[in-house]
Amino acid sequence: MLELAKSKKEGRRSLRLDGLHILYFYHHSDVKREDTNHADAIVVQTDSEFEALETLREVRSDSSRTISLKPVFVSSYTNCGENIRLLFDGTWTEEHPENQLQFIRKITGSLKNLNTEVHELDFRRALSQRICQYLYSRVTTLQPIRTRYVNTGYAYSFISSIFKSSEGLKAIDLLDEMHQDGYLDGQRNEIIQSCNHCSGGYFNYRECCPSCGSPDLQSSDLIHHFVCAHVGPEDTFKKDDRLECPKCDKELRHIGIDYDKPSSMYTCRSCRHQFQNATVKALCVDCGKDNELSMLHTRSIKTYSITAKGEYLAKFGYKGEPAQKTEENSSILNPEIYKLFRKQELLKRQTGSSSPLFEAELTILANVVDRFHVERRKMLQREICSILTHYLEPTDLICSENPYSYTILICNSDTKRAHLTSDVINNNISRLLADGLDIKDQTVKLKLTDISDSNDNA
Amino acid sequence: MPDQLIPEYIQYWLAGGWGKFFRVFWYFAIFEFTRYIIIDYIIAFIHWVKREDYDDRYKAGRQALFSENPLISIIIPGKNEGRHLYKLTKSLEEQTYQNFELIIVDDGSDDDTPIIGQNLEKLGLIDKFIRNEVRGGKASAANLALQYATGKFIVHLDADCSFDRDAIARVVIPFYYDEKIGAVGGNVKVRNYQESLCSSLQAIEYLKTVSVGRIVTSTLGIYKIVSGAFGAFRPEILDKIGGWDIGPGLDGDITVKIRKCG
Repeated sequence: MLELAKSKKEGRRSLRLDGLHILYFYHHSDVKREDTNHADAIVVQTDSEFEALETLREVRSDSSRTISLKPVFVSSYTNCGENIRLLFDGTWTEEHPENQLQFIRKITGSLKNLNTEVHELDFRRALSQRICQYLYSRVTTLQPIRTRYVNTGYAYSFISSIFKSSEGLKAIDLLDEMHQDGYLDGQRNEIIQSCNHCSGGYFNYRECCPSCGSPDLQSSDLIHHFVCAHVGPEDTFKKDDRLECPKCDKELRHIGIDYDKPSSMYTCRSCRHQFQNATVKALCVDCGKDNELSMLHTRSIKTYSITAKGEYLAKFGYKGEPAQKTEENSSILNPEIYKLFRKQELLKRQTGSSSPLFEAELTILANVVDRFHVERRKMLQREICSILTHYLEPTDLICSENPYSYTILICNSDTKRAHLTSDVINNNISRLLADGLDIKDQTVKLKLTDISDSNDNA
Repeated sequence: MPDQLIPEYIQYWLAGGWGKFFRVFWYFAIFEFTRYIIIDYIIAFIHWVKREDYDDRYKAGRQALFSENPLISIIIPGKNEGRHLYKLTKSLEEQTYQNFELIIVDDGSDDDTPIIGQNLEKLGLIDKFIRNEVRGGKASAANLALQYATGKFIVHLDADCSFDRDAIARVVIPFYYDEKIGAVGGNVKVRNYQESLCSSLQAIEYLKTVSVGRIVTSTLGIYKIVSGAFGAFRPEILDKIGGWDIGPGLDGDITVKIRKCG
């Protein structure tokens, strides 16, 4: 029944089973060295966990679809950690390979239907298509798997090979984007919180002093002596093994009859601040930065399944779809175009236009923006731009390169109106940030300059 | 016919004459009239005569207070007072004297007071909000606030009061008149006296017993109740007497104890 054709050359072995060509890899360099295109499946055969992982990564992240989507097995004696399990299709036993062979035939059959012409696509689009092809060929779903190897604490099979362990959130972003585009369906399983600075998902939650932030706290119960109404920390009542009221010198014997403990107080050993409600902060294990709980980045962890649109993408590619998403903020100019318009407006003033020209520099202080996760910073930028467009005239121009700074060109307003507009913008954005972030200090700086007579055309 | 226009009770007294009136109200004429009317007018007259001395003393005390600018601890014990807290903090924000810490003790409230208090603490409108899960009474709540007060003077307030702009300054200035002054009682008035008959009657009672009555007793050196709604204390005196004792009548008790300290 089995047609066996073993060939050994520098540790390589290929196998023909039931008309299928199985290629054996012993080392990750074999992936590049061998001609894998004609193999129907790959078996990673090594007892080294590291070697197995590297080989699987090489296969799965190969730029050629015909290689990266191939069925990959790991020999039964390989020590498989959870990170390896994410990348292979199953374990391989030569004694009873019937199930695996059936599986290989199914996948190779599906792969024949797929469009593998991807050279003109950008990385994200190519990867999206590859994910759809993986799901289509395996007739499976992408399920989140709890793992310590990825910084978010969750990994997905197949795509874990493409992203680094520190890029767990990027993988989630990509899948969510595919969900939004209709290629995948998502069903929420979990919610994770990630660090604002590095997207890490491992935290040390601890109670800190609201005044100085130190976690070196001492908690003490308060005792209320019923008879004399004296209330104080438990320490002040302790006399040897007994409790004695420092006010009336009576011994406190029975809780509920002589005294009770109405509450407790923390004392910070660093700054001696006393308080009842400690601030809980999340210290990121990866980057060591402290995060306020309200500022942690919350994301949904979902199980993704392919949709009809995703299947179409897997089979036929991006036919009829625009190559790039259009920029959402069409009213926001990039610096080059802004400079061009500014120059034109200045020239108009020099050749007789009577209305003054104002330029406003709006700066959001770094300590405000840095509190947000990178993704949220983009949202903040969009939000601020939409506020600006709301208060400005349609003829005014806005330029913003980053969430920290915005340049506004006020073209057709008199001096009074320009100042009024800048005040309104300043007040509204300051209030938005101060109220939303619970910040008492200044959050925004806005400087308005009359540039009508400026010779600076840069 | 004109008799029918006069109310019956006046007709009764007209019929009875002054003799009968005096026989019925002799204690009022002898004791109450002397106590509340004659003495009040005498004290008012003394005040009027000495008004310039009082003014000079007040100005000197005010100058001393504002040059020293000591921290004042405002303590407010209360139960279910959450709805008054924001208004109270706003009233205190308007004070002419601003170097104070605000300590509020929630004595086992069963409404939204803990949430309101903790939010105001986060917003920085309250310096310390202490929550007691179990109610212990006003005295114990005030004593708890006392534990965490660090000011040179302690001002005890009620949460449902609102204050004139210079109320805090005025209540602590007397401490600069004389080092022997251990406690100062504030003048408490009814602000909504026009709202109902009850509030009008309460306003009359406060005017008689608190505004005028306590000025008189203070002048006579027999002041006996520093009101819990608005009173100021030296913390060292409160430490000496162990703070407030269990009520009722805790305001009177503490005043008497302070007087006993000399």
